Amino acid sequence: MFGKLLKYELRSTSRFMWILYCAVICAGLISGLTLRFVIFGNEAPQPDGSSIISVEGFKAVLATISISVYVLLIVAMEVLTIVMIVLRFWKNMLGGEGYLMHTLPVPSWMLVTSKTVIAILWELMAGISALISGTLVLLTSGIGFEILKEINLREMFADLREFMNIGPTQLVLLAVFAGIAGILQFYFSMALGNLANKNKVLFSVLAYLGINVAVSVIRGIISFIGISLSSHIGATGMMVGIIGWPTVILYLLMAVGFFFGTYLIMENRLNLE
Amino acid sequence: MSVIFECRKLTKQFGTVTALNNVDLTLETGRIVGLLGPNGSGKTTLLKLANGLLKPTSGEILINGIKPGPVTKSFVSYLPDANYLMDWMKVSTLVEFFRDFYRDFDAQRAFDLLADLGVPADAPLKTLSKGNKEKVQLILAMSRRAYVYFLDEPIGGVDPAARDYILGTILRNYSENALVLISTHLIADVERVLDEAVLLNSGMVMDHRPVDDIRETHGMSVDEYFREVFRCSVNY
Repeated sequence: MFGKLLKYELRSTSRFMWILYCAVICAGLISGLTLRFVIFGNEAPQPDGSSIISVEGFKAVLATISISVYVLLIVAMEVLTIVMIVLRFWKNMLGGEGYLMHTLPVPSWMLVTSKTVIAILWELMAGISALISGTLVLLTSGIGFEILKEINLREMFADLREFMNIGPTQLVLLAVFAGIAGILQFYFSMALGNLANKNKVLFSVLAYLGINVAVSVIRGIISFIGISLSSHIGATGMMVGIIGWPTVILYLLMAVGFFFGTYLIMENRLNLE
Repeated sequence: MSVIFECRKLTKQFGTVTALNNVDLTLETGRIVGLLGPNGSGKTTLLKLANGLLKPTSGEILINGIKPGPVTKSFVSYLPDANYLMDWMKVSTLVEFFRDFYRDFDAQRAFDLLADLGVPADAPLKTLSKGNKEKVQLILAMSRRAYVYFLDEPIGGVDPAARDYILGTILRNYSENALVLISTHLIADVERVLDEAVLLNSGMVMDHRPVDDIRETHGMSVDEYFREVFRCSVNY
């Protein structure tokens, strides 16, 4: 049954997402080629020798537009991915389609898990698309090889450890748990909002904001304790509150807590309109 | 016949509004039962509770002795009074969806019924008319060989000619050991297929009797009896 849920979840969500990710990859290519023209393109012939400045100006405008559009597109892709994940859950679990999904002979935890798995898949796809697209910009523009050569992972991690007190393992785990907790925070907030008999959307938003405040407070406390206990933590670590294992564990606990919260509401307090 | 549906002191409140009030109701297999009542009497709430879409405030609801959950959902077929299907799916994909999730689903029966009612199987649901969408929902619900059918307003949105066919479909397709509970206010249309009637008013069961008993005792049809009982007290 779980496999079938995944199959239909993937089918339902994949209709628009592929187009979005292909667009982002194509945009990488186009942006890269535009930048190549800006950097290495031959200047237009100037028979009267008067247009050097305007050609340079044109190139600068072109580069700015190209980079702005590109960055906007990447941001739009990330936002649309999250919007799709949120709307999908709302419509399919708590809206009209909930009548169908909640009368299937499957336990509630399976419904929530299948939604989470496919949502993680789309977040990964968004990340991979951005990575491919960004690499394409660097490679097609011709400036990429230099930059790619400059990247030194060992040094990056050494810096991270020094300034933020976080190692590669912790960083990967943090990204995974924070990603999952982020999705499940949306689900849990909507499940909470659905308990209200009126203004379900408003209560969902309030629940989401409330959880954010609570998480910020907990992270603040962890940072404070971490800083008090250690003399080696850099100023950046204090500011963003990423203090190694305690934060990793916090996000793991958040993911587990939001999952069970969502599951228990679906199981015991479902309140479909 | 044996008891398959039971409500014990079932109460459901939405905030301060009581939708169902201390309902005791027992229904047996092999019966077609009409759940009749005016708007807001608690019919849909009762069916949603029976399908686990709402949870009781107090009391309990049992189907074949078990509370609504994955087990009861495998033998209960529910037709909600709402657009609940994924409308971007083709009708044939929806048939496939039901076949994938319900072991008792008969896809051949579904395709036969679609053909009989002239609903195109390869069309996306959102391109169909309102009436045809309702037919698809009913066909999917009735193509299961379930023990219990909960049908919430099954004929509300279709034309009178299709109503007869649909009621015929319900009669032909439910097995003898199944319970069919039909919620409706179109009593005249469904009356001829009913064995029993449950009259619900303001969240309470007012009456629960075989329809023949109503006809003999009161000398009127169930529809007339309903109008008599629920006559709006208006003074001209």
